[in-house]
Amino acid sequence: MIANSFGMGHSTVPCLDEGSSPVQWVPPTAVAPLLERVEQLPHGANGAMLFGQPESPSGAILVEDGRICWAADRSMKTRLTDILRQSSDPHIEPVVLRRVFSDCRRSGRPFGESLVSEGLLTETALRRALRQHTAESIAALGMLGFLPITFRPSGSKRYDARFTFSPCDLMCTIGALRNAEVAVLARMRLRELLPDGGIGAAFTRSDTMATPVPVGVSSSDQLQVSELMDAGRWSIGAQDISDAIGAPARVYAAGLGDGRFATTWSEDGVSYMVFCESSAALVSILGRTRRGAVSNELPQGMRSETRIRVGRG
Amino acid sequence: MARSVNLLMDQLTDAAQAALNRVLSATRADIPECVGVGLVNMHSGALIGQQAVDPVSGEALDLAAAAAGELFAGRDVLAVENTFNRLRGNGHSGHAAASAFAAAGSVAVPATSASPRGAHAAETSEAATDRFREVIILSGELLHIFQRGKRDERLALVVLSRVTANLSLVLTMARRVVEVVEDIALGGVGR
Repeated sequence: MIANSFGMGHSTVPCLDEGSSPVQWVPPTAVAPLLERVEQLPHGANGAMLFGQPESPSGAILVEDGRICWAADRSMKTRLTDILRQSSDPHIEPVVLRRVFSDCRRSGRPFGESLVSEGLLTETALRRALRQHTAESIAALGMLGFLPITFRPSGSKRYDARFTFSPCDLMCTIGALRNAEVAVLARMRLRELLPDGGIGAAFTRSDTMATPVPVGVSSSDQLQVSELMDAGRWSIGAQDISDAIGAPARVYAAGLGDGRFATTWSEDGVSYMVFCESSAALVSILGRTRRGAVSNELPQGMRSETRIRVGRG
Repeated sequence: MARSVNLLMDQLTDAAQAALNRVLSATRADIPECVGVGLVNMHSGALIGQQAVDPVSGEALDLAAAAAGELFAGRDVLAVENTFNRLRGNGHSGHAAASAFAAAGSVAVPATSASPRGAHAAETSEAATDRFREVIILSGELLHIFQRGKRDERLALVVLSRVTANLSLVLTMARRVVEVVEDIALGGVGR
């Protein structure tokens, strides 16, 4: 399917030009309903969500086991070329891409995997390129909300699970592409805060909307898109209330009374939200925020514990 | 429950108000670096009783009281509570009971190594609930703790301490006191 969708014409949307990416003009709130529709498909569903007339759709989202394998939109037909070329340093020459593409058409081999096997792309770079392309295509499909959407089931699974994405992951990718620099730092921070892969997310606040924009998520398979967006609104709302009562929160935590806490804080314009399964986990998060410098600001009773945690982290 | 409803409309009896003030006063004195403590009717945002070290702290208590209802019952709070419970496997979303936390390898820290003592004790002694029971706000100067009532969820204890206070200790004491003041308030309505 990658090979079938791979156009070799001129790109109308150069991928390095962030301003022309569909994610810049389609608000994440417009994309969320599409991704939620994918999540609402029956468990284990395989097939294609088709936009417009099923015989000649204007776009499609391919799904396997609830994960998104591919999205296609007519306006995005050739953008993948640029993304793939720029995913390698030095950039892959167009003539090389054409040659691999032709080989794949003849042999029926998957195009992306061929690029990896020939050493033209790393597996990570391919995954990143496919994720970007899929996220941007879904953003573009968000503009087709007026078209009827039908789901055409498929009996077979054709995609390597390593190159498929959860709806939540793609939602964050759309947000991240809107502000790549901030997103890179936020994702690094999440990994640093949750080295064992806990559940958390990072959000920016749009200049033009009150809605939080997710830019990073840890354990994205565990969260649904609506839950991610709820978490972002809660996070920003909690910080707003703290401001309103004259106590801008360095850290805000809400506990269920059994030691589990949802916690949120803001760093460098990014709001973080983490689900902690114990008060010890909350203490660990407190210790990791502000990279240890916060340990001097933490309440007295927690400082020594915090130093240990930070040291180990 | 009838008493709870009355609480929304009636004031405490003189005796109950005096008892509440005595407990709040003692609590303010006992909690480390405490500058104010109050019992809030979250339905109205009004303080049923309060003790503060100075007028500024009193104003801070008033502001906190007004916001308490939003902290526990804001429009996005329920959604996050449901997510939390679903992740744990006891939620309302119809998902399987398997713990997503375990699957995700969530923030795993040995409870004994870094857990605030009182907090950990409370964890082991209380059954899991599915609503937020407490909120902690660490700001530049103050530590706000909100404890929701255990018998009547419209009541909340608000504790303000300086941020240098021992969080574990403040949290533990607030958890203990909320039941006492709640009993006084619920037992003393109907004048």
